[in-house]
Amino acid sequence: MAQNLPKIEESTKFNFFTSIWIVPFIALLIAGWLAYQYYRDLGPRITILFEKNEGLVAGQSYIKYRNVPIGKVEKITLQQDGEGVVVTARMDKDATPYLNKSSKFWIVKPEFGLSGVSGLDTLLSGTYIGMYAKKSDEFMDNFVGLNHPFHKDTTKGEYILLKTPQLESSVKVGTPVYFKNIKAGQVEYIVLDADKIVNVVVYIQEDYKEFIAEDSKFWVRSVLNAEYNNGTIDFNVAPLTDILQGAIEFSATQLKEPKELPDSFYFSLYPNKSSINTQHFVSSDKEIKVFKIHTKEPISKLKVDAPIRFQGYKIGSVDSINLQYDKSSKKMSSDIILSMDTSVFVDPTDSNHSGYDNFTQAIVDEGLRARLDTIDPLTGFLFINLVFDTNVSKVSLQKEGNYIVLPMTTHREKTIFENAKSIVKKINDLPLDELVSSINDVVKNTNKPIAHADELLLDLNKTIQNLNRFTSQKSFQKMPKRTDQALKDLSRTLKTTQKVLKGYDSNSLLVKQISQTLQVVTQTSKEMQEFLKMLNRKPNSLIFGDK
Amino acid sequence: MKIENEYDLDKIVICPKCFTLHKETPIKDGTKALCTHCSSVLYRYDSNLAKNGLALSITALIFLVLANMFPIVSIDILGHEQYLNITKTFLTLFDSGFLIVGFFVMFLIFVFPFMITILYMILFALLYFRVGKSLSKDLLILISHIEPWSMAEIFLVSILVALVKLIGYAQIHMGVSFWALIAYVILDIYITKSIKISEIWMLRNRVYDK
Amino acid sequence: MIEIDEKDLIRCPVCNAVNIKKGKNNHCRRCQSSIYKHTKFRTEKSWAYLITAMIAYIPANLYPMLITNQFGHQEGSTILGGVILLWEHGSYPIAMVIFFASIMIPILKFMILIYLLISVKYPLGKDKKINKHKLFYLTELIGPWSMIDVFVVAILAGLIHMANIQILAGTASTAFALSVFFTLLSAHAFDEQLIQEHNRG
Repeated sequence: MAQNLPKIEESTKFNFFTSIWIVPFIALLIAGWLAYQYYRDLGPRITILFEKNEGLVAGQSYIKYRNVPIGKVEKITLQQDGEGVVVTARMDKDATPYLNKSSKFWIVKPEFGLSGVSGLDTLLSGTYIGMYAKKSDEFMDNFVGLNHPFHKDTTKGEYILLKTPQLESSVKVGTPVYFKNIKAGQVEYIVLDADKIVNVVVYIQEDYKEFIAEDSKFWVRSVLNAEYNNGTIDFNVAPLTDILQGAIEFSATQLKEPKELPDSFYFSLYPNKSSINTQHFVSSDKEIKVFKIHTKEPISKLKVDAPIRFQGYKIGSVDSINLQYDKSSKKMSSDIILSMDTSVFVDPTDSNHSGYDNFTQAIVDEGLRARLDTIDPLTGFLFINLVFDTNVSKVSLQKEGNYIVLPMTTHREKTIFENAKSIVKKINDLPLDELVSSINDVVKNTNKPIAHADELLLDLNKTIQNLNRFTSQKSFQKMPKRTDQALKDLSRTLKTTQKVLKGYDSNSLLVKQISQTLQVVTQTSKEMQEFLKMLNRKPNSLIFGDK
Repeated sequence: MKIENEYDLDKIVICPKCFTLHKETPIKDGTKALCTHCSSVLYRYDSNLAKNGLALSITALIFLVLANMFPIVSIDILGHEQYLNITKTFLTLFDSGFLIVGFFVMFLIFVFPFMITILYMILFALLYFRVGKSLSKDLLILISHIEPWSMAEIFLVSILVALVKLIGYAQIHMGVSFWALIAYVILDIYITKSIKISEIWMLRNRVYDK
Repeated sequence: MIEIDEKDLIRCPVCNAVNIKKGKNNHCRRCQSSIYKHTKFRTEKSWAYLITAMIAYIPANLYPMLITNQFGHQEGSTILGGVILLWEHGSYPIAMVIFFASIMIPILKFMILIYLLISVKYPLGKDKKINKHKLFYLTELIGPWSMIDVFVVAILAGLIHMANIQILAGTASTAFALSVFFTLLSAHAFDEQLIQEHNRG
């Protein structure tokens, strides 16, 4: 019932200075000073117009000058007419003298160079905007971005013109040009001229100009190379960089005193290295003529653009093939249109006759015929071979419309042995003793003169029958299937690389593919290795570790 | 026990710890009343309470605003600089689709601390200027409900914890907001813990009854 | 003049005023906050929240708390998983600390609340009234600090957010946050005076 009276004690009362109001006052001072500092250090805001946004993130991506961050992207919006992308960025204060007419901006994405990976940091930090400028007092804040990285030494290098009738799909603006595997320049422009020839303008840096003269050759480095040599197939896949960006290479001049290139000089851009004819024909003026061939032979393996060869040299190609069903012979009859450079037939000692004259004379008088031969027994693709057939009589030139008709021959006397040799080589790999020994006999016998052709033919027939026996066996049948499979795999790879090429803007598909490849690459970077190791091992250590 | 009416109950105080009854006696400025049984503090009297409270809560608000404007911490990881401010924490969570966690974090370290500080500020202002009797009551009730959900000090500690993890991987620089946050937390703890709600009720009675 | 029994006086937890216990609807004279309705199932709310918290705690441990995303390759880690990893790597003290802070403490809170809730109905440890208050005080004090785990996830996710290396919150973070939230609600909903009351009565 009783109520207690509380005890009373002195409270530890904090005497707040002279007046409590000092405290908020101090806080205001601090806030004001901080705000002042912030606005004082605030740099200018600029806008840059780009064709498209290639991986920049608003509020995150940086603008770097010589790799030092000096600005940050604030927002990215579409231009009013939808023709471009406007990037608004806030620069550091000390960037102001560099914002003027000379300022250049470009987007830096992950790049892969031959001599290692560069721009790996963009994978961590994200794409950024590179910048170059010279100091100036005239301030500007609206810019147009470049489509590809800017190089300082534009003024001292040289522009070179390359021409090609058909541009390889891997070559585009920015494709690097290599000399002995060192990047010497890049493709600046690609345009189509009035003759429907593709003109590729490349810029070569000053240091490499001296290696280029009239006899230098430019070619596109092949993404995928398949060469059939002597019974073996060599597959070469280009390095990842070539697949992504394409690559052009050039060879050094052999001239002792290379002259300067005349103004309108152009080089041919060869689609691959092997198409460069290292042997020189005497005349250099082309004389392209169109011809026609009629044949009822099966030519499903003859492709458009198949080469026309004379004694092994390519002098033309198949332009088009028309097929028609011939009721009477129950076969497909075909018209093959091809174009050839008959200037190769120019005889320097006989200046009265043009190459074309010599060529037609060879057809009429000397038995020059066209023949369908196999490029290689593996794929079975055909090409048109111009050979001399001694067993034919003189013919007269036939014309159909605008075309000269080339007579054909199917006589393949000489080639029997060539075929045998290549087949023999393939069979040699098969563990078949009997066949090998009998074939060895045949091989030995080919050294004998042709006089014994009949005997040899008989032997060969035996071999071929044996061969047929073995080809029906499973193991042999698998071989072409396997190579077929290999070719299928290759074409798939080619298709995906093509996709990669086409889809080359830094969207996630490309980055993901690169990332899987880079799993290995990243391991070479020690710092990252450490960090990623820790992340992998103790992902939770970030929360809970080292507590 | 006999009392006149219910309002006589105002004159009694129950000790929160041991529940002993006491009679509420007026005490001098700068003293505190203790329980006779367990010696825990029953109530204090500080004439400057409203003024001090107002000043401190204004200061706290300034620091809280500062803490949200600048980055708390910036780290240098693998050569790339990253920074963090308070809003980024829950905005990132929203971006990755974690709405629930994002809302939690947003309320606990952003919305509620702001609300508490502002409410206290208004409350103290009302008491100092002796206006708004019913409003002050509503505020006081609201504050009592929100108070346990303002977790700024817990957030501060978790910043330290997170930084300790990152020490091995990256270089750490404390930002302006970190110190502002510390200042805020100190003030906040003083306002919410050291100034007891019951004292403010008593102050309110005194203020409006005069 | 009203005659009241001293024992019928109640202190309002919000504003400290002294009130007379009135049975069902007790509202504080001063601040109108309800001094806990004395309904049949007065611990109902508290139990409901507690059970929810415990249910939420299960996915909090099964799902990953943090997900590290390197170059598109994602790897998550749960609380327990992290502890085991650390233990296996020999950082025993760290593993213990995490185990204690993130696993033991929430479970401890559950147990304390269960104990307190049960002791309202069934007498458990009659003589230890004050300890129970201390327990409750402890629970209320530590409760919010369990949110550290959630905050740390938020901080790391916000901090390590680069183009190709990222830390993302995992599903467990939602579950864990909810679990802590409901534990706190449960503790709030628990009428502290019920402890005292039972022992008094």
